[in-house]
Amino acid sequence: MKNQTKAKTSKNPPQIILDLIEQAKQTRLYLLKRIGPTSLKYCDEDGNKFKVELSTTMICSCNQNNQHCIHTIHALLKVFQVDEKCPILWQQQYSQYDITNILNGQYKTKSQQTKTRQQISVIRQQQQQVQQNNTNSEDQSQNRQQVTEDDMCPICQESLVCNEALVHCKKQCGNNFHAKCMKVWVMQKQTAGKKINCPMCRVDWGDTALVEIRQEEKIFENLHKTHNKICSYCKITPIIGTIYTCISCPNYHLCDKCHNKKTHQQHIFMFKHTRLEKYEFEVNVTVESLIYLFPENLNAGNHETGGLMLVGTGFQKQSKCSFCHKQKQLRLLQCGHIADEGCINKMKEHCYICPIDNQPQFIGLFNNLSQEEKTLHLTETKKWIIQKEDEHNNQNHKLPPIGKHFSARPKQLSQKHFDSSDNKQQMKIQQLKQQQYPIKRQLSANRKQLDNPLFIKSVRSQMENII
Amino acid sequence: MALKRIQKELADLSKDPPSNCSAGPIDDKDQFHWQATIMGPEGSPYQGGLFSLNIHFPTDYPFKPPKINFVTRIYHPNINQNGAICLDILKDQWSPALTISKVLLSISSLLTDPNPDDPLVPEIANIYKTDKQRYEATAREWTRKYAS
Repeated sequence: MKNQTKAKTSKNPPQIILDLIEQAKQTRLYLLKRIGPTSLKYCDEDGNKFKVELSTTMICSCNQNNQHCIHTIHALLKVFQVDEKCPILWQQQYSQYDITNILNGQYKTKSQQTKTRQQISVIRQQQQQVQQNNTNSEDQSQNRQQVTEDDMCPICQESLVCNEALVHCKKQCGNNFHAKCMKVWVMQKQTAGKKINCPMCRVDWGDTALVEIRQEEKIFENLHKTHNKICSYCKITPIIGTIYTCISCPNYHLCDKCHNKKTHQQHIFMFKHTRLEKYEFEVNVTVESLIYLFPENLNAGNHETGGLMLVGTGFQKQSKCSFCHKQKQLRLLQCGHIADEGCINKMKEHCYICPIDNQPQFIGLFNNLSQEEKTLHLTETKKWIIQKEDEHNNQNHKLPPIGKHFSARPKQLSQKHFDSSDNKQQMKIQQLKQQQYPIKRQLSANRKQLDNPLFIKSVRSQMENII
Repeated sequence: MALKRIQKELADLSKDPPSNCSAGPIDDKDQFHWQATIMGPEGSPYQGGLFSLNIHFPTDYPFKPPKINFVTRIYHPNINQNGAICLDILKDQWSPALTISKVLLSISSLLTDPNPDDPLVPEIANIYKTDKQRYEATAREWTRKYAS
């Protein structure tokens, strides 16, 4: 009991909380709605929505462990204005007394309590001054026509809603054009020594048109090539250029430099170059990172989905369950297929063997199985290992190509995939095919590691230990 | 960019064709060379005629205007016997926001309302100004002779 109370009220925040506080300060989260006094709805920059609730523990929809996450810390810091150094921030559980105190603002920083009103009035005055100064430039930008999805660039007739800089006619009509289209038109007019006209209303844009277009382009680039995220390794913020995001850990981002240093290699990353782009999987994903998983997960805990990597919420839009095509609660199987938690639970009946390529999953799930099922799983594992060894001996390095892991395949999880006779037939057919059409693919170094007999032996010995 | 935009215009023309004209490439291999037809506008002496035109797109289209000329002979103060058209938007008033369908529409309105103050054929412009009935009669006769 003493230990527990100590943990609750320790004066110094644990490192995890310190990191979370730092992240919460740097990340931009949008408070969508305050559903009740203690329940909030958040949206992050990628459009993912989270529900945060303050009750006996902090509940956030981004995890189910009732642990503190960046959203709960953000709520406590920014919404309830709890002081950074107040132990209430890293408390695991809250009593009714704590909650009322939080709501009454008992844990606010003293400076915040007194200064806020003055500060707000000062800030407002400053804002008004700035607005007055900007009235001229605002008048110019006000006539800009709003861009909708149907709008076309009058020059190239392509959509204006795209990942490109736009310019508009500031002098008169306010029509929008792609900056690159307008640049060609302006340069052509300039070389011909004529006045630069707006293509729509023919008003003269003046001699500085080209300079202004280039300025707009620069502003656009600066805006969209920066990400308001913090690099989890070198702590640089904002991340400029390419951003790499771990698909398993919540809010784990890397900048280009740190990613090149091969940090955090145990997980798979997705990347994007500009803010408007969609995330993509890395090309050389990553049998290596899958291999890395095997030993540590062999004895991983008793948790229901123990050891399988969660596909982070930010990536669920791009990926779907290989079996039922759902896009929620996805986890990455060790064979590289993606399954949602419902399908993983269904897989329990089949001893956690992937229905697509029959690879057994070496994970904590194993502990959920009954004794009979365990033996079945182990025999399957043996088969799989022997098959791998055979393949290696025959020097037929024929694993599915790496990219295939992430292409969803329209297969339903059903009994027949687990039918052993079917499997044998399928294997025979596959072997025949392999003999007939040898794949002339250069294998990556990573791939060879999976075929390494030493590695397979290590897995085998670990399996035997369990038996 | 030029080819992309030309193909886009072709798609738009087939999706939403204008009422009194049509246009398209002569040969699928050469998208830069089109043929167009304009129906003589109602209420003008060219009514009932069908005029065909040649369109050549420059490689830097839409930043340079397309070259358009009449193939069918026509009696008009702004169009000469080679079929060249005197129209400001095809020369210095060209804008990249203009499309072929808009240009054909302006040619069609030029047929209804000739501009004798900036003529390409001064004789016809002179007749148009002094003796409009004679101009209309000749225009109607040429339309019957060449364009129908």
